[in-house]
Amino acid sequence: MEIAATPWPIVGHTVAVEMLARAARTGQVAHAYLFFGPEGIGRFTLARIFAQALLCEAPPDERPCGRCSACQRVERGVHPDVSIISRETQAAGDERGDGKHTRISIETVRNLRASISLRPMEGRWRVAIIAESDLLSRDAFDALLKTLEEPPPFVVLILIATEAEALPETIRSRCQPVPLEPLSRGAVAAELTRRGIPPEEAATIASLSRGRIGHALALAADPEALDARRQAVDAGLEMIESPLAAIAGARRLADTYRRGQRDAVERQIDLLLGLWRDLLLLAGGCDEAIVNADRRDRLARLARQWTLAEIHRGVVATLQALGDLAINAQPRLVLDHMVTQWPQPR
Amino acid sequence: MPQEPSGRAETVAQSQSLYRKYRPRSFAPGEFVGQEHIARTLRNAIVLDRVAHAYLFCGPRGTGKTSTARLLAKAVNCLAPDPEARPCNACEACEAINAGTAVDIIEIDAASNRGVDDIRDLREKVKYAPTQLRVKFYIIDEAHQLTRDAFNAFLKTLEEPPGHVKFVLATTEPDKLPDTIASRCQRFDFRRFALSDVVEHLRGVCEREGLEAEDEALRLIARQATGSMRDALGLLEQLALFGETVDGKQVITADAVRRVTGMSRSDRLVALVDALARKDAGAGLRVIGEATESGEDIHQLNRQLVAYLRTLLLIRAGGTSDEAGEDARAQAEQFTVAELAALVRTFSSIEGALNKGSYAQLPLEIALVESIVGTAPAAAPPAESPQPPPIRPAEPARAVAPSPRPEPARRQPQVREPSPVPRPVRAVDTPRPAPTPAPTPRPAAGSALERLVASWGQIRRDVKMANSRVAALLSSVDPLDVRGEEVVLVSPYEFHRNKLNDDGIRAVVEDVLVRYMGGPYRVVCLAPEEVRDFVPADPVPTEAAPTPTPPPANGAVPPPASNPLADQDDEQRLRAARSIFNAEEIEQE
Repeated sequence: MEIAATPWPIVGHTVAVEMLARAARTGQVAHAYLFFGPEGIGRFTLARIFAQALLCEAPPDERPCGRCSACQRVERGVHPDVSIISRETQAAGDERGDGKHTRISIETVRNLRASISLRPMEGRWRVAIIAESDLLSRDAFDALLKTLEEPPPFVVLILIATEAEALPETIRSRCQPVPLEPLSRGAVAAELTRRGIPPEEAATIASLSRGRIGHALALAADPEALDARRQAVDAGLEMIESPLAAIAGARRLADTYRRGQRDAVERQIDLLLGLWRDLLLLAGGCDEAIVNADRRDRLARLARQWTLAEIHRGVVATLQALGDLAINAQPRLVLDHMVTQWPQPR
Repeated sequence: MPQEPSGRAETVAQSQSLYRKYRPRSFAPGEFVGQEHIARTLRNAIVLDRVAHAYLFCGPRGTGKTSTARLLAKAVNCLAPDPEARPCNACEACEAINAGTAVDIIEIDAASNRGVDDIRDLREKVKYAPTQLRVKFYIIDEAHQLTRDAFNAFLKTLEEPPGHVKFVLATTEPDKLPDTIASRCQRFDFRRFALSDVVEHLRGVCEREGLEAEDEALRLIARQATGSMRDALGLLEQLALFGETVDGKQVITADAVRRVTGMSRSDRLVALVDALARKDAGAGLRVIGEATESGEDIHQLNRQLVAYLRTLLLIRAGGTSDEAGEDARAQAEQFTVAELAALVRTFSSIEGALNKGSYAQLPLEIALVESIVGTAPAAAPPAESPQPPPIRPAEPARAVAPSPRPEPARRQPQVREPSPVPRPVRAVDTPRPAPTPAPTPRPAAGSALERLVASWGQIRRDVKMANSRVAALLSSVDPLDVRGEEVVLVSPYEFHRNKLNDDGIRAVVEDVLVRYMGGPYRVVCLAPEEVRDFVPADPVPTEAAPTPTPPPANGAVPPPASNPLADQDDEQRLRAARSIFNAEEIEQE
């Protein structure tokens, strides 16, 4: 995929940008958009730039200019015509401060509805961005339905979600879907290089980030994180290479899990899953796509000793472990089971 | 809509969505598409002046419920002397309604006005005569969202409203309405639009909007919308903005549709199926990798793949498909019907798992490799049962891990021509279970149990996707037996048993079971002490299995149990199943 320069200051998403830019330029703006795709690929950034393009004071062809006061205030999140809903804003608005904010409540949506029914204060549009629309409660969704169907003429709603399927059909069908995909590896690497990262490191980070530019930038900004990841990868490889290390590793992970660090354990299993997937790709003869490209030789050695079916079993067992942990199975059993299902090294 | 560069003073509005702009304005056949059965009934009601006082419109999104409700309101209030011509869209009343200024048409969004107070308020207002029109019309959208108390407060009004009031309740989930409400309304079920209706309508809209579109593009849009007009028009609108401009004219191309929706080109599907046929995992993985690298939606790819495999299945089974080209016919020949059916099942079962974790495409990759190397869920566990792994509780989940596909025996290349391309060495050198006799379309009791046990984890996960509360109930439940048309589950907790034997919840589980068991089964949940009675009877061989309910003649799925080969096969499977259970018993000693 070639990396086309887009008129907007965002990496990738050419189709979406082209579409939104045209909408902003011609004024043919839909009343609701649904941006969906994995996190870390610039969904919110795109929404913000779109809001800038709608509210910018420069001539249409130059929007968003990024210099006018409207653009800058949108960027800082203080523009009066842009409302943003997320769990954080909900928590901030919670006066009693005792609410649990795992979901976005119907109250928050009602407040939003009240605020967007007023004419814009200074711009032409009122833009409402619902940053984590997967987290709207069921009632909150329903309260949105009518607004989504026929909002006031000056309103543009932008819903951001990880998966379109997670939203009720009734919501989805009322929005213009804007699918966003992870960026291609080349695009991420190019952006990193542009920011002054040496090409070799950029390539490594790009393949690790799996197209999530947000993650890539975070990794690039923090050399320790990259180092920590390398160590974790090596630990994971060792587990796959040696059954003893695997059992020990599983026990360690289970202990960590019991101490409440669920996220850390899930991250490590996810990493193991990535390694197994790389093995699968190598065994299938699809070398160029592997994620842990910096450990290619070690992976290739491992891949050679098993058949595709055996590696497949390893992938499935690891994936299964992630799923089982998510439904609160006994962590120690899950992890022990995972490593015993892995094929034995020869 | 060119804008002034000055920026500030312009008055703007979102362009009116096509689906709002092209709501039907009359019941005329050209205008009111797709729901003829409803149009005819309502028109006759108007002509005969027998419009009911309350209607219930149900149907999936975008099938015209709200539009029809508005249309009905207009027709009832229309002043045209000839009832056949109503709504005329010319009289005062029609114009007022079209312009949205009629105060006597009251649309209530039940999702946000769902409380009992809202309904009390409505009840108060219902008493007053209409100010402008003949009949006051209440359209209650998303009616299922009303609270229970609100429904109850509404009952009396709905049963006998004043003569000048009519109601339309519109909902996507009619099952959530109390029966007392539903029985007071005339119910109309809206269907999803047929593909051709959607294409036709899109074409009409394109003409009126001055858009040009390729036929293929409209077909793709319609298919993408899965029967919802709103989705179709929404997509069309989006594409109208995206389309390429050729000589000052916008043309919507099939290519643009693919780019906007993240659909894959059909040659990707051909390549994927080709990889499956040649058992070349690398080629298949590469296709998936390319698709994700170029920003195609992995869900779409999988959905398209399933649709394509289904087409192949159709062709292979002797049917015809107007969408199939030479490619498809040639590819269909490379598989047996059973293989294609297994492929369709494998790939359609991963739909819910895609995009879940951090590797969006992983489930698809796994399914692909699995289809090629043929990991057998039923073959693996018995092989290991002599030395049971240290962890029993995870057993059902593990037995299932590779997915509920039928074992690879079915995938033996029976009629396949030797493929022209040499198979890659690595893919073939995998251990294969010995071929077993011809596949049976619907296995009898013994293998049904085996299949139930093997797919239990997968079933639970699917139930979880359908309804997480029911899934929580299943966590304490174990599958025990298949007796005729009954699936027997056992749970130590009375609460769970009662819940599971409840009709509504049972139905959720049964729906999922159909997918894995290849036919309808009834779910019964028993207590452990109740089952002790018949567990000893369990290992009675195959056909003599205790079936208090003799399998009723089921026209849809005739059990092919008479086949002696199949019987033998079943016995083997039963033995395998028994070995799974025995392993557990020994451990208890």
